[in-house]
Amino acid sequence: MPSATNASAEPAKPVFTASCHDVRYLTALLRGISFSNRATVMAHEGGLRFSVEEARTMTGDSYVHSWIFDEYEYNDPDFTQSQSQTQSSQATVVPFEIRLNTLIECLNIFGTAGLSSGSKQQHKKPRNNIGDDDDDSDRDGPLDKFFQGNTKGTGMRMSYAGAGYPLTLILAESSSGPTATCEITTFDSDPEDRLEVEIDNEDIALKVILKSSWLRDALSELDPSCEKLTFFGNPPSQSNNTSRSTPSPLFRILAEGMFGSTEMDYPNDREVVETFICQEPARFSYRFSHISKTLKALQVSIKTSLRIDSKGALGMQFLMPSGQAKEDDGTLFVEFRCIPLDDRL
Amino acid sequence: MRFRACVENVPTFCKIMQVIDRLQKKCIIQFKPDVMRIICLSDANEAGIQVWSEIKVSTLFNEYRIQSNADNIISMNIASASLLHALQGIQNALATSGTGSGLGGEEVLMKLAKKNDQALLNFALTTPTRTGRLQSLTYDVRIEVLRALDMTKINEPLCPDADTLVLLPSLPTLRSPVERLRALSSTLFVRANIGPPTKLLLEVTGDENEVKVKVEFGVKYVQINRQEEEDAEAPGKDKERLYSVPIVAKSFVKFLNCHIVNGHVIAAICHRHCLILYFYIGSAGADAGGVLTFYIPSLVDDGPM
Repeated sequence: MPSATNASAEPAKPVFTASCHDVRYLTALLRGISFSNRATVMAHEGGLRFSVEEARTMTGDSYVHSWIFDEYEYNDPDFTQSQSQTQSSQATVVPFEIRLNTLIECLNIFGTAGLSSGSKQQHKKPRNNIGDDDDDSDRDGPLDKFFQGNTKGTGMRMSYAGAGYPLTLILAESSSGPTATCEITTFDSDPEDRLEVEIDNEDIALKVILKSSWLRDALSELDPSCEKLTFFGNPPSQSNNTSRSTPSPLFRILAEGMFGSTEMDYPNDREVVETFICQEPARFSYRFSHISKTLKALQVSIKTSLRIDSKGALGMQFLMPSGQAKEDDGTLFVEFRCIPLDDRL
Repeated sequence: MRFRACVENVPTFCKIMQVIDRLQKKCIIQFKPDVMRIICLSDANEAGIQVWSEIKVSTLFNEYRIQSNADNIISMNIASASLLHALQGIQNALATSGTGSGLGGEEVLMKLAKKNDQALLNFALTTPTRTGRLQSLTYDVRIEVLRALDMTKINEPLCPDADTLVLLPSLPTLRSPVERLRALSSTLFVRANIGPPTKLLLEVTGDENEVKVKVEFGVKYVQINRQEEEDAEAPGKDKERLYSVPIVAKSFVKFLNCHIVNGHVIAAICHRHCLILYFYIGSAGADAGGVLTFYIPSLVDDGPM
């Protein structure tokens, strides 16, 4: 049900408005979950949450905190006492659906939403050569040369007026350059229809935190024809326990497919595995085609936290670059949750 | 039928052919006593672009001599790539001979020839070597001479006066948005007003109505002559009004891809009729090195503009 863009009955205040001077970090968060085109957007006081799902088995969530934006304003459309009492600030109020790929295309309309800085440089060079003699007067203000360093990116202002209205984006590279206005059709979202994979945080069977590069190298090496991926966890062996000749590996990834299997073991080394919690030997299997959906986010992420509860529900959190100062007070992450394969089948 | 000329401005000729080669494999070149015309018809490329260009003989050639029974006009079908190849070869040879400044007395002779009943355009570069002897490099480009009768069937599209003329933003600035817009929809609306402020809008509506995107560029309005200026002052002409033309998005992308060569482009919008892009190779103005004129027809669209 595409929404009407009739502006006559516009509500007084949009549900949310957000602006930022560089869309790259937002785009990276969205690209991470772009394996499915239809995303549910939930706005709340603390920011936006984009969710997608795959085959009723897997969910992907990007948490876009309000501090990623230069400005973020949220107005609860029908703020009632009862609603404010439900849970914390995470209580989602206005879910709506959008085409995620369309949003990403729009954010990248000037080709400067990629996280690699190389493409930006190429983009800028030819412009200086060609259009200068006639464009100088109205394009380059006296201060522009100071801003043309690596701060150049696409600036954005986003707003959503409420159910039935499009998500409006205004994008510009610089104050004097071209501006793009995008109206992305929104769809009603059915909260009942949403898949929620619950992870029992009280009953974690396996938890691993490691640098993303260690996991990325392992997963991207695997043949795409793999069918099944199994995570093994064993409690760290005591160093004085020398009775066993071959200690079982701390953390192992086993990939199985038509053409054989691959095993990857991670050593008990703080260089590799930052945190490892496992009380009893555990093994859980997942469909490789689902796990491989996380690769896009894994590729740009910094750290990975992987946890599996005793029923096998897998949660993978990827810490994403945020462009903020070094201190890690604010973190951006993308989370994937996946239901295990039933090993008895 | 006789034709011979010295190609004086090899780099410009080369650039023109680079652009043409990007657009189409074959083109028609018509040599007239005072101008050279390059024509690309839309039937050979699916994007519907036509090129009709007139380049003054004096900007490219000297010692230009032409004779034919059809009003001293010679028209030919030619493969863009082979002509480009010949010109590039000569350009490289000129560059490496070290006397590219023209002091060395080298000349590039272009003439109509016949070899084994095959009509050819023959290019010969003669350069003096250090020892004073002459060495030459020749290229034969196969052509198909077109009869005057065939040429009468090829007509330049008729266009009303442009409603607005604007200087396009630099092409690298345009490329990224246009490629993104093309990914969203097959139809691209190009709109511009007279202003000031003059703006150029590129608009699409997603094929499944899922998104509307409008990219706005601040541009300069181009005045052709004084008369125009007076007309613009007249109260009758609405300066705010946006003149629009819906075109196949792919054709605009194709036009941008032709632009391996730097140059100014003036866009003329004939409301709901066509988009004309004048691409100046070398400097803009009356004595421009060359102007390539691209016609992009409007899509038939009954919807609201």
